[in-house]
Amino acid sequence: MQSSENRCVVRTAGRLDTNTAPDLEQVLQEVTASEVILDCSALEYVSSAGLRVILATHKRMAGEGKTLTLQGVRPEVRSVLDMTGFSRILHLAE
Amino acid sequence: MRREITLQNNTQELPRLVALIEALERDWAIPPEVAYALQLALEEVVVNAMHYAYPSGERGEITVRIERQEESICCTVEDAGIPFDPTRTPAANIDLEAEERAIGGLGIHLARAVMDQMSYCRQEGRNQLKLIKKTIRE
Repeated sequence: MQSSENRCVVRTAGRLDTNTAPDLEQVLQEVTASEVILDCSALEYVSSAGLRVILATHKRMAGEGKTLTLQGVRPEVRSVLDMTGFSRILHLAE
Repeated sequence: MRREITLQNNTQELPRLVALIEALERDWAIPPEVAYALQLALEEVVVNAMHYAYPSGERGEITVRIERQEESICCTVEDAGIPFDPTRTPAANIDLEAEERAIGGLGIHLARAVMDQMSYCRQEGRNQLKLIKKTIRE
């Protein structure tokens, strides 16, 4: 995790599944920056447990006037975001 | 070719299932996109069974059979828990905006989306969910 006062980059890698999603949730809950970049360039797999954490964080931050952006999403993860309509409602960046 | 694994209803057992699918991807030369679909669909339905098949605090087992067929992979997930037919759960509305979305409820939707067939039967007091993924594109 890299952080400045208003911007924070959180890197996630490997599998974001039932057993690992709570770890990411805890990290994201501790971030206070107004702009959070979730670096997904090394994220290979996401299940609904990971999506739940991402959506909950997106909603919480939006409610506080903050933004969560998913950066560098790989095609296999992007397909899961597409199947669930998440690619339309989340902020994605190259 | 067929492999079977029995898991306790505890999500800490999930890595055993992940490792089995990774081994089959290698041993059976399963295309990566098919292996990804198996990982996703089986995590979703198995974790659902781990959470809800048995009453809270009661130990139970979930058995997963994976069979390589000529043009598909057939998976069967069985438990002896409360009757539950995932194929009858309402379709998730993926067109809702973020603020209208409930947190959760996408697991069965994803399993349906990545597999080609999903069918359920209740037999001899057991839930049997069959999931089929074609290995050859039409």
